[in-house]
Amino acid sequence: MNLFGIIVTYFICFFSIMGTFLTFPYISRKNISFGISIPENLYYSSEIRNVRKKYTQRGLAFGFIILIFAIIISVVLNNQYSPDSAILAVIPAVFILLFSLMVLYLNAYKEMKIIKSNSSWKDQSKEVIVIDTDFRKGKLMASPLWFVSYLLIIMVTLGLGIYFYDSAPQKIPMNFDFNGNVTNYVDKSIRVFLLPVFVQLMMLVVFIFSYWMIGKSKQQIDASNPEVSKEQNRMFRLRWSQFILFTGFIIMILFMILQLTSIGVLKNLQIVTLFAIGIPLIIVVAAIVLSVKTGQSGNRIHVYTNKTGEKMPIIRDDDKYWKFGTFYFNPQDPSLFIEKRFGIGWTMNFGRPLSWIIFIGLMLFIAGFGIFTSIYMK
Amino acid sequence: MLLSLDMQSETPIYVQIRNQIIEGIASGKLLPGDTLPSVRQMASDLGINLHTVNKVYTLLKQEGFLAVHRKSGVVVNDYKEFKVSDSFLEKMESDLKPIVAEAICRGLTKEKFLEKCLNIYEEFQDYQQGGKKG
Repeated sequence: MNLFGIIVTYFICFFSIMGTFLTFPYISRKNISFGISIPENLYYSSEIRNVRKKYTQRGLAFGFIILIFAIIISVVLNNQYSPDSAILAVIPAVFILLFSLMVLYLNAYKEMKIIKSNSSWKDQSKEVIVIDTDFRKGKLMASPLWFVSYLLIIMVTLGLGIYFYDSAPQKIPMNFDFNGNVTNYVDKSIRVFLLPVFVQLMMLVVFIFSYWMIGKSKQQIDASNPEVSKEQNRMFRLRWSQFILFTGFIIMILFMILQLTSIGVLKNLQIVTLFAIGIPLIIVVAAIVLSVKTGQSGNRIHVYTNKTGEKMPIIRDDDKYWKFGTFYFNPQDPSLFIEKRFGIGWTMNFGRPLSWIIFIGLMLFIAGFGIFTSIYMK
Repeated sequence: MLLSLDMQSETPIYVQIRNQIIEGIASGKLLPGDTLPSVRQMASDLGINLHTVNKVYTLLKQEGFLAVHRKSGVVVNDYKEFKVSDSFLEKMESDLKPIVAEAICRGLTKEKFLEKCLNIYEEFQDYQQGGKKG
């Protein structure tokens, strides 16, 4: 990769990370600010708005300073040594960026804590929990039948490898550069044709897990406006489960295309590269659009209703269960999966031993798969 | 049906849930044959101990309001399963006594008291006849 490529990489990394973390405060639930629960009607108050503004401004400033320094270091390394050494600066720069964003978050979290302890919110509001006993009777999730199509694609991928084994070329292309040139070949073997199938099976497990997690996660209805909130919460799950199924589907297709390349059926490597870059890009763009359009827990989805919300501000005082406003630890709560407080998606209840088992199990599974493939391909 | 719990209330949570389920049946929001979430599901959604929900369901089962089936889960019983009984009349009387006593102490007239009772009674009935479900 040349210097230009490295600078492009910097910009992609920095803009995606900063874009993600700096929009979190704006798409999280409106009754939570930096991991601290607040009365929803105060979300737009100047005091709380200032906390968000400060976080964003500092985040932008830090981000650009780190980016400029990192680019200077890379340019120097490039001129002094080689492009290969220049690229080494990217990973530490990304870590420094992530670390400073974390520090900024913790700052905002502490600031919110002080604001809350100086306020009289608790005395002025009720602490009410609302659930809908019919919540799980509505259409919460996209149909799991989609997973059948995954199995079909996996079988086709496997079948292609077996059927075209004899006619496949002796050297199988394994790695490509951005222009579609092959940078690495391996000798033909049945292992090479089984690899995409193994990756697909691993992905299948990950996607089934994500789907299951969304379905299992706790129902979280905002008590100050339950009718609207329950519909938003339902739509939020439905759309993200659709996203999961769609993402999994195109990833399965991607590995089938890679198999078609390996067996020598798909010879135009530029098309393969287009898919290999295009499919992840589609997923990222879809995730951004979905995040911004739905917001955490669906709070940005517009729901029509003739029912009005409660007059009394509601505050759910569960801050003590959220360590640093991020990690949920509540042994009394039987739920395993719960919506994140900062950002989009779900997290686990680390107060339950089963959560740890699932969490560690999943990590071991993914790490184990990484080790397996590296041994497998030797 | 929407179930709302006041976490600061003096009334224990299990009593709040029990009362709201009975109110739901009285107002027709819950009809015979309607299912309720499983113990685990409801406890998880409310973020409370499993035992609390278990207690509510056991209580309502004993009182005839709910039935717990292996397959279909927790179901609202048919009306005939929780008809007025002697034991209910006894319980109602003992529950009403302190309320009536307090009303008398505070000088509430008999008419006012009965009017209030009638209002509440009719409110539930109106709901039921309106057939407003959910």
